[in-house]
Amino acid sequence: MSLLTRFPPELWCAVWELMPFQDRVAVSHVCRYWRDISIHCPSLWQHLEFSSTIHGDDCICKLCGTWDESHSGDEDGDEVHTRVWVPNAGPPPGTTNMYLVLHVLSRACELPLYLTVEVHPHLAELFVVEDFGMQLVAIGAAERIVSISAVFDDPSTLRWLFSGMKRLPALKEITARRSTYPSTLSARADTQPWYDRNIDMPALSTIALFGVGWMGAYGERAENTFPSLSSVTCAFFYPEEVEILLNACPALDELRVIVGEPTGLGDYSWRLEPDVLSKLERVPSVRVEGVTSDSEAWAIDNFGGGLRASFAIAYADGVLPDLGLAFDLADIEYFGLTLNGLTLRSSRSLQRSLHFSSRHFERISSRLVDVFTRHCAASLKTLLLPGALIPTFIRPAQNALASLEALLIHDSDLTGLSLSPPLSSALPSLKVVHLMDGCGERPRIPADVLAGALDCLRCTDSDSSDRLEKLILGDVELDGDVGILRSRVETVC
Amino acid sequence: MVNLVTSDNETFTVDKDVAERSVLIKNMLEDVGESDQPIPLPNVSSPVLKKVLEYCEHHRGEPLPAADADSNQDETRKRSTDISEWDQKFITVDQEMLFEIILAANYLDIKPLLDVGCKTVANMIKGKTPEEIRKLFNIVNDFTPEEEAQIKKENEWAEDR
Repeated sequence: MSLLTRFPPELWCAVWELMPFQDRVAVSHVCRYWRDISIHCPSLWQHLEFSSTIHGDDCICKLCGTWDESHSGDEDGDEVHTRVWVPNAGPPPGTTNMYLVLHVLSRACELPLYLTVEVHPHLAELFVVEDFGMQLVAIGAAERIVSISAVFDDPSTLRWLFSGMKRLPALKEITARRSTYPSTLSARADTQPWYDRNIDMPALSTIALFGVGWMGAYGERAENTFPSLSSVTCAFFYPEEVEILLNACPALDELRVIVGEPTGLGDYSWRLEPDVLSKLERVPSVRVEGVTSDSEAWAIDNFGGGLRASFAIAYADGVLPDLGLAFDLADIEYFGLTLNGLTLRSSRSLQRSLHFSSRHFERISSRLVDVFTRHCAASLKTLLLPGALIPTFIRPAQNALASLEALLIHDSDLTGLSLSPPLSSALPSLKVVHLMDGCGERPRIPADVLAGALDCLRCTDSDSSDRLEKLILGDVELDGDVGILRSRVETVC
Repeated sequence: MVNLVTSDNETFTVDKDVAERSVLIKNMLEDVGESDQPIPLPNVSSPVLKKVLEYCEHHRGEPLPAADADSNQDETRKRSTDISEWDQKFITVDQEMLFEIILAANYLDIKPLLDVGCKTVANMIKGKTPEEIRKLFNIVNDFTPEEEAQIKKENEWAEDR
């Protein structure tokens, strides 16, 4: 007991704030003292977790009934397979904590609310979700919701939640994730947008939909607009969805397209109409994630073109980049390569990036060297490479790197470079060498190895006018005497 | 060096940058200026201070969290209860000592240590029923029948059909 009373209430609240919703409820059921502290601590009740596992009438999961299968012969003697659905007696199993959530949220006083929604049977009873939304409106809580994070099997869950809410003035962020269901169950494909046509979300700025398309197969064209929505993550199954998204989000400046969702609807043959493409071009930053060999052309043709400021492709694990290696940029000033990604930037500040699995690096390295020498080398001002690859890239480029001013070494691996025959003739304009710490740890480099590497990059005899201007050590620690760098570099920092 | 005197009158002599992990001590040192005067810590006993100083020693030199760090942190990260390996080992102590460390960290204003303590207690409570929590902390169920009825209702609401 002494322990309990010596511990001040604010410390208990600090502890409880770290716990999930149901633990916070449990804590309020322990003793009078804890109940008193917890229910009078508004911040404990800002994060609400609504859940429902109630099955819909049309649910055909294992818990709700069984498929009665039989085989018999027809008059021609062929085998006939019949499958009859036999529902269980009584109401389908499942629960919701809706009334508990509605009860405890008054304890949050007037604080902003963060709502988590979890609805699990894949053919859920969505009237419960709709009812929850309407109750939130009725008690004045809907207008304080700033964030909704939803996990569900049924793609129409969000729309049902919103169908009871006309306006969510404070809502800034939605994250929705469709959990995968056993492949033996047939998915109820959604045919509607994720939102209700009457909903107004003036402050919504970020939405991320995983496993959910913007609209759905044959959705009615809801004419909603989301005036503040600037960042969207979603999948597209139909070209119409892209157009509807662009019309609904006039402030869109960041689009993340997720490829390869487990819905089986993925079809990569479609291409956007020219008028949609030109609208899409106004979105400054587009990133396509989970790109496969099948979807690479689709991703580039639909989302990659034009003069947008930034376009990135992130390949699915195990996928080798192919078409993505053909860049359409001119006047490339920056070439940044690591073992799992390549970024190019042009003189007009247009950026193109690829992200791939590092275990494929060997298989594409000769194509990367080709991209480098053919398309980039001539205009390049800044180059980022892993240390070990510097000779491989610079030697074939020979005299073409005339304008390269800064060399950034990604992993500070200089051993190979220090032993390499001179590359200095290819780098007449090199002024700055920057050692990055790409690997997180503070690497230690022997000073003589670094000196050898610098000699390879810059031909230094006694003539001090030919020294490098600057060596940036970044987070790298030098082993040995810095003095031996003096004849090679003007400033070390 | 700084001299710290505990509630049981033991003196600890530590480096200034170790002692200054405590915002309370840091402010006191700034107030008194250069002086050899020992700093009394009447709310901390010597076994607890020894433990707290072990933490400060290990984390010396790390940047101190900004005063407004909390409000800037993203909501989910704030709620994470992950603890680093060293801290985890350090905080593996009996319950009495754990709570004493938290109280001392709160009094001495050592935010990162307070966080480690709170996370540890939260991890102890997580996933337990009220009865299991009572057992864990030796708490007596002192609810009135009316309160019991209300709690029973809340439990039913949590499992509505």
